[in-house]
Amino acid sequence: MNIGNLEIKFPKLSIGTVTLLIIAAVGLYSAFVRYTQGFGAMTNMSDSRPWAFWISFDLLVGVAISAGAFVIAGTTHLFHLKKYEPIVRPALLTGFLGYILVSLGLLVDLGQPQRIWHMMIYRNIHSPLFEVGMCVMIYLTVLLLEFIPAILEKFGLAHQAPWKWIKNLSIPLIISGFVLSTMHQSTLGTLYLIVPHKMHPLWYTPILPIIFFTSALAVGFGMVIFETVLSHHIFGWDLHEDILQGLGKGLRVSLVMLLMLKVGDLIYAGEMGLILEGNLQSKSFILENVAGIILPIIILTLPRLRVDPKWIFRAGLLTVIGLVLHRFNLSMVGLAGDAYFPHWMEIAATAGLFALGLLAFGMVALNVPMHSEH
Amino acid sequence: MESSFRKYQCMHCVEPACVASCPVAALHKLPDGPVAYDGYKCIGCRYCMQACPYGVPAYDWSEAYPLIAKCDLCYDRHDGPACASACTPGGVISGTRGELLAIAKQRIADNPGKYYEDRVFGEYEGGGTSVLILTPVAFDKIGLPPLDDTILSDATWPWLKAVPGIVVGVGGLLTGIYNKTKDKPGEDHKEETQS
Repeated sequence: MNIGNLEIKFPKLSIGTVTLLIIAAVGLYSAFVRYTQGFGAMTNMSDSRPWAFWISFDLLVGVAISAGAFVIAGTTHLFHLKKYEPIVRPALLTGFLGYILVSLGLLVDLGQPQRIWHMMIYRNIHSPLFEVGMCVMIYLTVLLLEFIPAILEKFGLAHQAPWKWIKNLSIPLIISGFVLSTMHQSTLGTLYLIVPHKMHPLWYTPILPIIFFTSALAVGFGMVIFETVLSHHIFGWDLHEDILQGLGKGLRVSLVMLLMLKVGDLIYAGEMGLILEGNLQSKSFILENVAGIILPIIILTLPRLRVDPKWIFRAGLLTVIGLVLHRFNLSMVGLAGDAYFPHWMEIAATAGLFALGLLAFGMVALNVPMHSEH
Repeated sequence: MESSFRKYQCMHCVEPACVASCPVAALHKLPDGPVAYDGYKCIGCRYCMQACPYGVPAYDWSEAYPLIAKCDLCYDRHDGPACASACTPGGVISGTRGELLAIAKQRIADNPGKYYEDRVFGEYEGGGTSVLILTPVAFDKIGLPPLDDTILSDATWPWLKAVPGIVVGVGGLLTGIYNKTKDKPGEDHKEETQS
């Protein structure tokens, strides 16, 4: 399609695209039900399960798996590791779309979404959620500014006034993105520090903010590995093996840190015995940490596997699965409340947003230059 | 089997977790003790419900744009809480926290062994509550949570208080790293390494 002399490409109407469109439509219908008939008609939440699937997935998982943007932008431009340049824009785009999805998810979850701006005028600095909300709003702006040069390049406006201004700001922007991420990635853990009486001791720890930040770091690497390999298959982008191997090293370092924090904390608290109690919580904890931390560490340590893109991809995927398990275990399996299983429309609303995000990624990736101009 | 009743209501904590957690300060502690709610500020995030150890704030799940509902100790009623006025046998009484605590302790002193552990629920729990409960039944059997005297928001505030320090610290550290790893002009492009 052409608008003026601007060419706009659309994804091919493949089975994948059509499936995503259907999932998105069902999701939009679920959101419509929520806004017209209320929560009771399409969720299984209750007074003792006020935070459920949407908070666990859209907020806790959504923010964590969008961490790739600050991890990669920071590594490449602050540590001057230039070989990662080719994956910076895709990571920024994923992060930007990820945070848009988080925000849209919250607008479905909030009872009074039209009042979201109240956070800016009725501030409560004692609330971890206030900090998360403000950081997400500001960080979304930072990510937009970081990605705008790519859009300007599409419109043939590179090396002109606004492009130059933003390029000159790029380092302060990357630093503030990193600082904002440090703040709200950890503060998502702080949210749950106020419920020591409701949370199982396998997950409750006063260092929860540090565990949340470290796991966001790990899943940042994991997601970037995941999307680098997938974009290679879907869009035919180059797969640089040395980039993947470097990401694998970063992933292993952050996973080892995470494992030491978690094990060290349990030993310090004298709670190692809880792992072997054999109840639902202990089994979930074992699965989360063996599949999501120990296995990828082993893969990334074995000399033959850690250089193989296929195995690096698997390690990245396991890390993402482990992160999802950790956030769900902590906020559902390990949190006291009524028995709860999400209504299909709760899942559909989230899946719909996710599908929209993937379609948006495809649209932008097809149309906007993914390599930055200097 | 013996049965027992408890009046299930907001405990009006001295240091309420709901007040600390509300991102828009829709919940606040009044000087006289009640924890009041400004519905017009509320964004419906339900963090207060998650944070409350007593499971008090309730939500209207049948609504598309629900608000929170909770006891506000009838703070705008002239004759004090309506529940206390309505309770003819004197099971529910109102007064200042000091007065009520003194009455409770007198009752315990007059009837040793009658009340569970010879103590008042709410004197210290979670930093203390403005609603006090005197009961012969074990606290956990009437749904009262096992809280020690720690204020719940004492776990979150130190991390939030650290934010300005984190901003300066992380920001400074990153600026330092940026300058340190930058190629100096004239120097050959260094082989990059990563651990």
